[in-house]
Amino acid sequence: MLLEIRNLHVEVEGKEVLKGLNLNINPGETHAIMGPNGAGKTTLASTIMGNPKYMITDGDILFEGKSILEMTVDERAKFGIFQSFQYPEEIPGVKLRNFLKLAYDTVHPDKKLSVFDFGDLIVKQADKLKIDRSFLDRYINVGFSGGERKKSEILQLNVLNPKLAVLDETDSGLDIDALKIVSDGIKNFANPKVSVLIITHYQRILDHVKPDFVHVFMNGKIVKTGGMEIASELESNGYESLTV
Amino acid sequence: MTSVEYVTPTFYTPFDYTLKDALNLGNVEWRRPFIEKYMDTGFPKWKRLNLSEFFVKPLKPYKGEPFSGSVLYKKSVKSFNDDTFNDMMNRDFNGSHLKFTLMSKAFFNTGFFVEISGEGEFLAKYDLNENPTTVENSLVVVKKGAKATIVREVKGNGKLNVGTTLFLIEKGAKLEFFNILMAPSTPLMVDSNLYILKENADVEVYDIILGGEKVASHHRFELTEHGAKSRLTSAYFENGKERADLQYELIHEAPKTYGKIIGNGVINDESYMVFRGLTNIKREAFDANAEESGYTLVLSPNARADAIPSLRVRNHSVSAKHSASTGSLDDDKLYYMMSRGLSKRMAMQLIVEGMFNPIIDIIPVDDVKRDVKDELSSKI
Amino acid sequence: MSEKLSFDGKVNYVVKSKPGLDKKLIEEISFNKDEPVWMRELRLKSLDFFLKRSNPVFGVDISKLDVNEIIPYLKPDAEKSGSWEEVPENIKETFEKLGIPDAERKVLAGVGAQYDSEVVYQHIKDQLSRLGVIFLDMESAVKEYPELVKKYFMRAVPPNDHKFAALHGAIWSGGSFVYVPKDVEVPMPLQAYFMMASPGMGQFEHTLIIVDKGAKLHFIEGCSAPKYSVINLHSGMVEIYVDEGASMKYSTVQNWSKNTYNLNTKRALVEKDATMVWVSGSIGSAKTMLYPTSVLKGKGARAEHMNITYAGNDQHMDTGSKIIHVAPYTSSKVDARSISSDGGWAFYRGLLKVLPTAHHVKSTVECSALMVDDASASDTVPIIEVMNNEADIGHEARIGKIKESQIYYLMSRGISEGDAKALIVRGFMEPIVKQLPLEYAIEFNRLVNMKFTSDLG
Repeated sequence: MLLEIRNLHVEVEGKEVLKGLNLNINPGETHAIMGPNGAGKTTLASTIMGNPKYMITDGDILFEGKSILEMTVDERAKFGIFQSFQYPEEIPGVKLRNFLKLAYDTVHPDKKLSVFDFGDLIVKQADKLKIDRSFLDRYINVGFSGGERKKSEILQLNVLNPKLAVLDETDSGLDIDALKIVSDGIKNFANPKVSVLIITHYQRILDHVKPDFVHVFMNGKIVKTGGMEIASELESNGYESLTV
Repeated sequence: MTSVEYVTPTFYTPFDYTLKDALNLGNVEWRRPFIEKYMDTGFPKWKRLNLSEFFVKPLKPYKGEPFSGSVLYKKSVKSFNDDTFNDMMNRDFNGSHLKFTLMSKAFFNTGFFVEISGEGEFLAKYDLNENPTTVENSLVVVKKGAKATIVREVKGNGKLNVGTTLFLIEKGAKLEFFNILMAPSTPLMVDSNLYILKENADVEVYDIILGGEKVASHHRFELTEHGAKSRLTSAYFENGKERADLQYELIHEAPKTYGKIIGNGVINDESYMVFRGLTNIKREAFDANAEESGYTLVLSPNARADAIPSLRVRNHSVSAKHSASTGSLDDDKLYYMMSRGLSKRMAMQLIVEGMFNPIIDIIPVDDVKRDVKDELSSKI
Repeated sequence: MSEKLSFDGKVNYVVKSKPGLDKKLIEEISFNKDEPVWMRELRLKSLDFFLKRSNPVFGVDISKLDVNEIIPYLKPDAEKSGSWEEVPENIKETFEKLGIPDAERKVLAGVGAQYDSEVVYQHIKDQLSRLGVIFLDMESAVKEYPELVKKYFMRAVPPNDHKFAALHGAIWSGGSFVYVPKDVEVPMPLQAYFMMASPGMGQFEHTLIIVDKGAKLHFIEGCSAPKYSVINLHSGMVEIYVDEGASMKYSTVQNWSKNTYNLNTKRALVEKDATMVWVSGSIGSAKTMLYPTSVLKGKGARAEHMNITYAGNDQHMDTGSKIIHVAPYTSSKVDARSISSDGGWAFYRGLLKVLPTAHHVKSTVECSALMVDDASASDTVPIIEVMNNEADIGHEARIGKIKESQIYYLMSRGISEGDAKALIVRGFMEPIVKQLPLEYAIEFNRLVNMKFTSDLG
């Protein structure tokens, strides 16, 4: 198993947000977690990544069978976990290209790519995602539109090539064309060795990516698990229909 | 860490106030401790206000009744023995300059001491025509959870106006203060204000300055406890050869304190305006938020505007900002209004009034509101 | 020049130093330099001002600076250098970490002469002389081009400007002189480094640059590797004259060792349609006071000031810029950034003055300060004086910290906390650092990385 979350309880600023969440993900699987606003979706993504703002009060997260709770954020990234952010940060003065090279060299110390080979790699990915090449030489997310930021996140995903991609509301704020490009980017990443966890409010991205499992997430827990049919059900009946 | 601090040079004047003047005013025992210190202190040699000589004018007891409002004010000598009063009077506060705050304490001929619980309004209207030399010494205490509105208006043509007002705003209390100086031909006006804010206290100050010939004004906000919040909005209009040196100081001493200063004004003719914004964030002030901004509209090539901002920050979890700008009348705005049939003069007038209206509109006392409008249009 | 380069600093005689700077010492300095009368008189007049003037009433605390301590080093034959053994360990360590070659280490530590530079310099000299550019050390210029030097020397900054300008006028030695003739564009940046002929030079150096009409020059002073000297006062002066339509860029990277008081004066007079650009990076010294100044004298003149200041442990950096708009249609832009960390104190002090004669002026002043931790301090005092209504002036200042969410974002891509902080700080400095020549920028970045124990390249 790639990711195993056991009875996870998490507090944010003294308030319990995750209340005993369980989730198993095998290599090659694509999972979707759907939930209403405020259900704790971002909390889940950030807890897997290890954001120190979120305090785990109980439970465990295992990655390839090992607990990662003691690992810092960068150690988890090196271990093969990737988080795509709903609101990616701006880092003035740091060019996307240089940053990605640095991250790539850190995450893949065994693969020694020259600056030129690396340049080829990111240009190829940028072209696939229809990202203007000039973006590579702009500062990280500075002056990027919402859609451009999301594309930049997917570009980073494909370049860094982790084992587990946790995509937090990657579809929000995208128009139809951009959504298609981003979805293709996710499909491009997916292969039998890696896993994807899509966290979303809406069904539309799932129509493109077609997850193997769909989980309904409410009040800090997964309340229902199934296939794509659940997503359609939620779309027509809303989350309210599930409240007991 | 030490740094070199600039000390304002001082000068003495041969016929300064003495104990004799205090005797005429009464309550000498209470004034006495300040008199000696006053006589030891020189007048500031202010470079930007061009103050290098000074002759005091005769002091007389204040004529007339300047106070009204829904709250009772205490002015009896007995109330001077009040602990809060004594504490506040002895607080380390130099205002625009120590000489003038001491003048207020030692030689005041008017002033008020109000304590507000619940809700209350208080109006002080000083008339310099009747009282050419007005020296005020005032204290406002807004009790826990209370809500106060204070209006101070200084009007007329006098010789000298020196005012010192101290405010203590207790836990959860709210203060709204309208401070209005409009005595255009008065040679010198010196205004010092200290606000001590306790936990979650909330202060909103509107500072309107339409002359004196020379105006020195100082507002100092001490945000001493968690969550204290202060905002000051100033509006000034200067013309002729008027000079004003306005100093606004935010001192953040506690976590999650908030301070905001917005200064807008217009200078014309040969007037000279100095806008000083001081923000001082102490080490203890985690997550403090401070913002100062100033805009001066310069209408004449001979007018001068200086901005002297200063940010001192000793805690790194804060947000501190300052901005200042000066500009001339926006040609596009003028053109737009003129294209609707207004004369250039009218258009200018509208733009200037536009800067004042948001403050004038909320002045809670109708005749004060009218006074300000009249004074402003006569200036334009 | 070559004579000086073969000078290896042996003391021929020792004069017992008397307390206090005096006329006799100044005359002796001037005599030994074989200077013309006007220069000797300028030195003496400066001494007079120095003795009369009081210390500046603002800025860093210099009460512990004893100017008389430098007197022994002013003697013409004084041993200005110590030995390599006397150089503090931390400086040696920094050289090690920066990978500076042995020969250069000794120069930077003030214990060796820059012999190698002669070769490099000779090549550049040939190229320059074909263009008619004069580039030589200040002392030689006084003798070889007396009329030109006399016309400009301490005219932009007169000796009575302030106490340390006066001190400089009295005891200056070394420095560079550059004259770029009309319409000549100097193809490569000139570096003051070439003029560091002997150890201990560059403490009271005078740099005089004249860029004639329509000409163009980039001049670089200093180096980012730490510079150590037994003399704990650096009081240099830079005077620049940018004539009509000319363009001048002056870049400085200052990294004096932490025993140094760095009290510097830099001023440019900018004529009609000319451009002056100051790029200043200050990392070193115990205390610095430095405010490069542009006087925009001619219609349409432009100035741009870019400052980056790093105040680390035990440092008080009082830096800023001064711009005086004298003529109409002049414009200026200030981008000042500072970082304070480990208890350092960064103070930005600026003056923007628009005189009544200067209508249609445009100016923006932007100051940003980054506080890395709570032990540090950051102050910003940008003074603006506008005496004309047709001026468009904007100013913004902000002080803040590194956002936790930025660190988290970078760490989520596998970057360590130290590297993340270093990256953010480097990004903050980037717009200014990128103005520096590549090798300086690289060293600057390495220094930041060292502060955050980051291994970034």
